[in-house]
Amino acid sequence: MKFETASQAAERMGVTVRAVQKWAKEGKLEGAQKVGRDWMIPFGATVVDSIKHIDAFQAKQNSGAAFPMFQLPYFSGDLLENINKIADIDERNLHLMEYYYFTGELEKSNDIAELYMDSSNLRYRLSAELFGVFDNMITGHLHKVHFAAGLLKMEIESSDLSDESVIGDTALKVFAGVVLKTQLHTPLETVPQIEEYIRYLPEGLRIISLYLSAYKAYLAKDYSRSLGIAQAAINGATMQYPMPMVYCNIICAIDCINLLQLEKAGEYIKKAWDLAIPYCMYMPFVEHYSILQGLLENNIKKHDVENYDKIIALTRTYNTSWYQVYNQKTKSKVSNELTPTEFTIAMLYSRNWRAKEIAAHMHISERTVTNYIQVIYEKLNINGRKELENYLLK
Amino acid sequence: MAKTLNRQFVLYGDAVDVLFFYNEPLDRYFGDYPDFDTSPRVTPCGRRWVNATKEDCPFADKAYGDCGSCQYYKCEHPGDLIGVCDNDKLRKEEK
Repeated sequence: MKFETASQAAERMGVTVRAVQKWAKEGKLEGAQKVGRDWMIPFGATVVDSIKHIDAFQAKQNSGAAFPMFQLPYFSGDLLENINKIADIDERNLHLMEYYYFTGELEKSNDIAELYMDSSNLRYRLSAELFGVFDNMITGHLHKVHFAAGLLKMEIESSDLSDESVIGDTALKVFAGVVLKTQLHTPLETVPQIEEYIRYLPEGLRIISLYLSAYKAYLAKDYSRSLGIAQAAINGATMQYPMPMVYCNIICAIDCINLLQLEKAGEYIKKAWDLAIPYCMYMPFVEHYSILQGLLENNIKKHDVENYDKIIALTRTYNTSWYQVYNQKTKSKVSNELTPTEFTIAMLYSRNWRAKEIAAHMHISERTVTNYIQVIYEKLNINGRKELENYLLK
Repeated sequence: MAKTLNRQFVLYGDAVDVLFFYNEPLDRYFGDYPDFDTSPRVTPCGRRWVNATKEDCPFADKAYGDCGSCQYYKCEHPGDLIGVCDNDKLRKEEK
């Protein structure tokens, strides 16, 4: 049997050496042997079941975990295989539902979500309703989007959010409400600020909540604040939490590009890519594609065409549905008619980037950028940056 | 041979011909517009032809910086990508 050191295993798994030593000591790494003061880890070993950590957390909470993929402290080995090893069928299904969503297998995700939308377990129900909204939006089943969003809205609006005896559940409802409100611009008047409830959420959800706060600051064009919040979330995490970290790194990249820190933006997007893509987690990039402003084209496309193409294919459907549901003003014109490159250039141009700046950023000539802008204008039947702004995501 | 269409843009008594090429997959025509930065052109009354995408004019709206969003940009039909600058300060002597 081949062995590797704890630090080599840590690097492979993307966790700290201390975490590897701890798992080895706890017997979570099968075949790990202590040699002197060091641990020798069988080459390629993964934690017996990374889901175990989350199971322990759930036991402590005395109920199933809501949004379990956000709570996984690390990914290792074959994620799908690990999920399929979860003994409890409901827990397994919830993990699968989210796994299929993030990997872009939306029909499969929605099939599971529909099973749990009327579950008696609040945590299952919240997860199913929220993922049901996203699954159906991307697959273009708009009536189902409204149905799932309506259930979730009802769930939140009919609750007494001031009842402190169920503060953990309340925090989860607020979390779900904020996701719906922030990501999909759903009008939910009664949802309080997530910041008031963050401390009642488990760590993975705390990190993703900070991402939501950062996203809110980004929408308010306060890019420095947004970057600060996301960086704090990244640096304050005690474990890897890959899914929340992917989102945080993406928002950092977007903030950096808006602050014209192009090199840093590239570093953040690469970090997000390295965490997500080995496990085929495409959706975080799809959700943010329209505001990534050429970062994928610039930093990823040439190195990983295959995965980039998968993201583009999912993005086209996502954008079309997004505009159909939420942007009546522009209808689906932008997403239906603009290619991803045109969309990227349109985003940058609408944010007052000059043609020569876009050219330098995208490694194309200024003349090519001007040609793209003319084509965009012709497709949208407009002729100025001022009008273009109305067609794009704010 | 590519299907084309000629369109004349007429402003202040001056006419500019633009050839439009048919794009089959998109089922629409796209114009091959002149670049008035490299080939300047003025109307008989001295007004400059400009591309809507032209940037960095000192008189442009500071918030946008392009001719297409500028109050002085005059075009024949809404959405036209070439037009004439109506700013008297940029007007040239009569031709």
